[in-house]
Amino acid sequence: MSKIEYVGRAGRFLGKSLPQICLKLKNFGIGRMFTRETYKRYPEVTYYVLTDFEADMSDEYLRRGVFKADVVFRGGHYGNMEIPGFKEDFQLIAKEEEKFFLERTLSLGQKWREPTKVSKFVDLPPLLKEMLVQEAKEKNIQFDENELKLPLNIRTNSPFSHATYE
Amino acid sequence: MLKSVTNSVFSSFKSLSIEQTRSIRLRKPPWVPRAKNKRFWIPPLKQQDRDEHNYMIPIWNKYKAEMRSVYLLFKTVAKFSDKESAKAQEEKKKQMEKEYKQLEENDQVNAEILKKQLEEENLKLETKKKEAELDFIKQKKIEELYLTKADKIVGKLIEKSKNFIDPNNLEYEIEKALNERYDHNFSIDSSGRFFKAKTIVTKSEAFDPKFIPKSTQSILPDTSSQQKNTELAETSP
Repeated sequence: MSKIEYVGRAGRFLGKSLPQICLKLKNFGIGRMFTRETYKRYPEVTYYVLTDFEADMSDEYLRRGVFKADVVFRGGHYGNMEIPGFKEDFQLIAKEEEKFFLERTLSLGQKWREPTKVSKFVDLPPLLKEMLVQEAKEKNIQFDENELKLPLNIRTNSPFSHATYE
Repeated sequence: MLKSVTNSVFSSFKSLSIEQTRSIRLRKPPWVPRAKNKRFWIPPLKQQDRDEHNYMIPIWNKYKAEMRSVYLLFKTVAKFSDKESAKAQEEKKKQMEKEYKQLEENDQVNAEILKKQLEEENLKLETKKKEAELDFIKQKKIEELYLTKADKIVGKLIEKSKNFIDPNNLEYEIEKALNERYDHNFSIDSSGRFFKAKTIVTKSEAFDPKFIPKSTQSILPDTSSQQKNTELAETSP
């Protein structure tokens, strides 16, 4: 083989954008499964099951549009949401291989790891603590140094949050 | 041996970070093309230690969470933020007062303008009314003039109709016209007035052979001259 020299910047995407695949399929690929190359780094299984497909045909590269799918990320269900179909990272899964992916998905409420438990109060940064102590002493406010703590604000409501208070 | 780039590319798919570089040429001017050996140069993909990355991520998350909560603490409890600091609040108040004053002034100006506009519209209406009245009066006069004109024309025709000839009595009328006699013994002014013995006289009286103006009878000093005049008048054709 003659020496091959590739040209251009390398990236981590390997695949096609969603419209580039789906405009060749029956019913525009609704109901079919897709994976992404970037999510193959995890041992668990991630895939999308398409539900809505509306591509912008005025795009010459066939990347733009609105796409919705049921997301399964690392085995856990995350519901129906919009996915970035413009990324040239998607790979179609053959119908014989869908079984492989379905076996490795977890049940509805289960996620790929348990949520991290976090305490509600954390130590203040030291400089801030000293400033507050000095301020309190000037104003003659009584306080307990052990109670001078920072309340941690964490997002627990969204579907992408894997942390909870203890 | 030149390394093929395929190995580095496929291994980089599993890497987690890519650095992108930008090059600046300091020695050469920008219109000179790139050197041959650098034309298709690809920046090297620097891979990071996976262990280092796995160690750093939870530390980062912890740090970011704490700093975010400090920021939120300042924002909520101490009400500190770039937008809502003491100075900013004062400036906000001043601006609100300014706007309030400006709106009041604007309302005043609008009211004055409204007044003027209403006055102008009232004036317009009044002028229209007066003009309409004048036009009405004019039209009335014009109609009256038409009527008077028509009356005149009709009166003239009525006067003339007295002299209209009946086609049944044609022969009688012809004989009558032939037997008529006119007196041409009168004088005419340049303006067309008829005179008979220095007295103004109408057209019919001028041609009338039997008409004698009365002033001659009064002015006449002698009876002999009076008689002569009467003889003259009789003998004239």
